[in-house]
Amino acid sequence: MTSAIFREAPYPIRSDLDQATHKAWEFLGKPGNWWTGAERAAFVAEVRSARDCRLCADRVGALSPNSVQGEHEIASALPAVAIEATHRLTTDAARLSEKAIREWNAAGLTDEAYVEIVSIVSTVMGIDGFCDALEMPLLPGPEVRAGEPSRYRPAEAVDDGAWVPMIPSEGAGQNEAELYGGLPVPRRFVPNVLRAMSVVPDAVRNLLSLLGAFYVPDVGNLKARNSLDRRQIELVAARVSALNECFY
Amino acid sequence: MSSQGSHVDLEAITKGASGEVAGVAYGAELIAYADAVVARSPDVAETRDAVQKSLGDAGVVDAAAIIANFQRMVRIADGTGIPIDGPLDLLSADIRHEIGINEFSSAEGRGKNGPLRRLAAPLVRRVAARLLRLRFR
Repeated sequence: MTSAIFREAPYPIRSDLDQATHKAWEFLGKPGNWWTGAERAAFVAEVRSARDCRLCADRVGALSPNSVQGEHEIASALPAVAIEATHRLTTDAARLSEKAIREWNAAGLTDEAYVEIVSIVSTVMGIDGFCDALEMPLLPGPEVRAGEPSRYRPAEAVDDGAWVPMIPSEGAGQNEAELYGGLPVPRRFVPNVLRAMSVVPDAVRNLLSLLGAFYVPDVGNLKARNSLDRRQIELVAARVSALNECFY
Repeated sequence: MSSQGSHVDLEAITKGASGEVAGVAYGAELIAYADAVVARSPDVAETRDAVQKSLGDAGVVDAAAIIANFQRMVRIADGTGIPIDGPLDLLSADIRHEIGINEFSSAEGRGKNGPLRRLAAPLVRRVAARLLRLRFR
C-alpha cells in the first residue's frame, strides 16, 4: 500500500506519518506569524539549496565558519540576513552562537521572525530527511496560500535562558492555554526543546503534531512502537544528535 | 553503563559501531543506517536493507522517521540556544563527559559539567530510580 503524499515509498507508510507530513507541508505554504506563504515556501527552496551550497560546505570544513567569505548559492529573493540564517541552520547549526543571532537582529531579523525560520528549516530538514532515508524523491514545494502574516507575539514569552524568548512552562496565556497541555504531568515539566519556539506558538503546534508520528505516539509517556523497542529508538535518536554535534 | 541491570554501550552513540552494540538489538545496523542518511552517503540503500532484514518493513520506516525527527530536533535546539533541562543536566553530567558530548561545538558556553556534578550524577540517578520505583508500585 502506498499513501497519498509518499507515493514513491518503497515500503508501506503508516497513515499517521502520511497525514502528519501532509499537514506540516500545508502549514509551510500558509502565511505565518512573520512571513507570508510565498516567503515561507521560498525558505523551503532555500533549505534545499543550502544542502548543496559550496560556501556552506567550505564553511563546515573550516575551523571557524566566519573565516570563509563568499556568496551562497541562493534559490530565492529573501533578505540576505534570512538567507544567511537559513543556510547556517541547515548546514552548520551546531556552531551557531548567541553572537550570530544578535548580529542578525542588528541586520533587521527579529527574534520572532528568526524563530519562524527555525521552525521552517527544521520541518523541511525532517521531512526531506525522511525522503532521503527511504530514497524517495523530495516533495514538491508547498502550495502557497495568500494572506498576510498575523504578526502575533504572545506577551508571555520572555527571556528564560535561551537565545530567544520562550513561554515559561507554567506561563502560557489564554491563547496558548493548550500549547503544553499534552505533555507529561503531574509536574507539567515541559522540556526546553518543546518550549524553544514558543514565541511563535504555531511552530510548537506543528512540532508536536509531527513528533507523534515521527518519534513516539504519546509524547507524554514516551511509549515505543512495536517495530522498535525503546532502546533502539533512543540509540538512533542519540546517534543522529551526535552526528550533528548537538549538545542538547 | 548499566541500566536496570543490563549493560548498554553508550560509546556507540559518539564513536559509532564497528560490531554489535551491547544492550541494543540490531544496534550496529541502526547506527550504520543513521550514519549513511545523515551523511547522504551512497550506502543508504545497503544499510537500509540490513535494517529491513533485521527489523522488517515497519522497522525501516520507523527508523527512517526517527532519523528524520532528530535531523529536525537538533536544529531547533541548536538554533535557539536552549539550555539542557535542569533535571537532565544533573542526571547525565558524568555520562556526557565520558562519551565526549561536552566536546561538541554546540556545548561551548552551555555546559555546567564541573567535577562535582559528574561525581554526584550516579548517586542522583540511583536515588531517582528508587523514587520512581516507589512511585509506580
